[in-house]
Amino acid sequence: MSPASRLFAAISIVVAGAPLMSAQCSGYDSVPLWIWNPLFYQSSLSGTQITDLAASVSGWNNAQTALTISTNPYDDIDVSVDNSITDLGDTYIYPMAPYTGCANQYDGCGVCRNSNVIAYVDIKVSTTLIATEAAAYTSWTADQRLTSVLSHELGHALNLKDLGGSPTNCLQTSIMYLGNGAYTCNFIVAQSYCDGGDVNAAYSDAYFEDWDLDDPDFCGYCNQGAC
Amino acid sequence: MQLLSKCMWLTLTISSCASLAQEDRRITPTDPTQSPQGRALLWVRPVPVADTTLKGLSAISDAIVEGVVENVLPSRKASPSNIQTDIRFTVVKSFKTSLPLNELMISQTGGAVGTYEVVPQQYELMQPGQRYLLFLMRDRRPSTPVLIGAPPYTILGAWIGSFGISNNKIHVSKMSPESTHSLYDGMDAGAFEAEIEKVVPTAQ
Repeated sequence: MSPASRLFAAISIVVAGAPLMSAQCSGYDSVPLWIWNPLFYQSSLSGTQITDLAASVSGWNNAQTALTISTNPYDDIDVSVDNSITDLGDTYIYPMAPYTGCANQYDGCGVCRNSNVIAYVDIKVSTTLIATEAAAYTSWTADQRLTSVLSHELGHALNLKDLGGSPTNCLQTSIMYLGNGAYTCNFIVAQSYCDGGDVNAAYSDAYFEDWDLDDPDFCGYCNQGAC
Repeated sequence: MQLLSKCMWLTLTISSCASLAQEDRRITPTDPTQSPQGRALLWVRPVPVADTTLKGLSAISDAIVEGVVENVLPSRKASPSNIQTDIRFTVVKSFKTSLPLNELMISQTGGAVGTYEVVPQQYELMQPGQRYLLFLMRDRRPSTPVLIGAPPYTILGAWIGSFGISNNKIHVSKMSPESTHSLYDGMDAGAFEAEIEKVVPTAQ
């Protein structure tokens, strides 16, 4: 692919709309999007929390085909505990601009590293609130609740929005429910129809950079001028 | 000798590969004691509120008050990545409180400290002069500062317990459930207050 066509492909990902899959699906934001695939995650979780995170990641890998999420060597998505938050989980999405040294610079493949491109994501979970809430309001264990929260937050990391209300069809439902939709339908990971469908749609025209170490065109270097 | 030469080639190859690591792609976690830089888009997952009717909200709230945002205090870090913005809120009318309240402090996640900015995607940070009717939870976090005469609270469900008032009409938060929007968005503020008084038997 020529740099020009790659640039066109990169631009097309930012103008792609967010078609509604159905009334029960959350939909997605058209920007910012990832330009890397596979995505990698690291975490400072411990004990069974590590298994919970792996289950959440596996759920997303099974639900959609646009991206693959794996562990190491990069830290695109970082997961850690922060009991200072007032929520079950918070997701912080850091776009390339204005943060990084590559902000608003073309890279070697013609992609403008601007605010439409995700640099990295941090997910914070309150294990204290999750354990309390699991015991008080559901019959789920703290591990099940953590898995469902991590699955929801990973959905945000992939650009999905929230979903209000309650599910009316448990066969076509979503992990992105803000309320207890997932508990009502008894699932703790991403679902294919809505969640997988939304991610596939969000990244259907996406251009992913070839960051292989033997890549001769040095996609990853943003030394091609301002944009 | 041949083995040594192969080892040297391998070493050079590995170090060369390492130097090709993608620029600006994070390799190791950010130092957890240091704040990130730049702008973060924040999505929060509040504790679910099972019953979002006024009766349900009033049952689990620690306080229900109407009033005006007096001023916004400088944003602060509750942890390196967690920025909180506190506002001083003047109470005009109390519907449910354990103590008489003239003023209180409300913390919201988001704001800016130095070069680090956290921008909530699901709600707006409150601004001076804005009028609200709020369902609140007591903020018992050790990181929350003490403001004399203004006990600390957070909004129930991050935004679910927040009802803006302008031109004497109720404005439901954009991410609140559809049922809440259909029932209360645009409702006369006085009628809304009357609805709350119905579900809070000990209205003050």
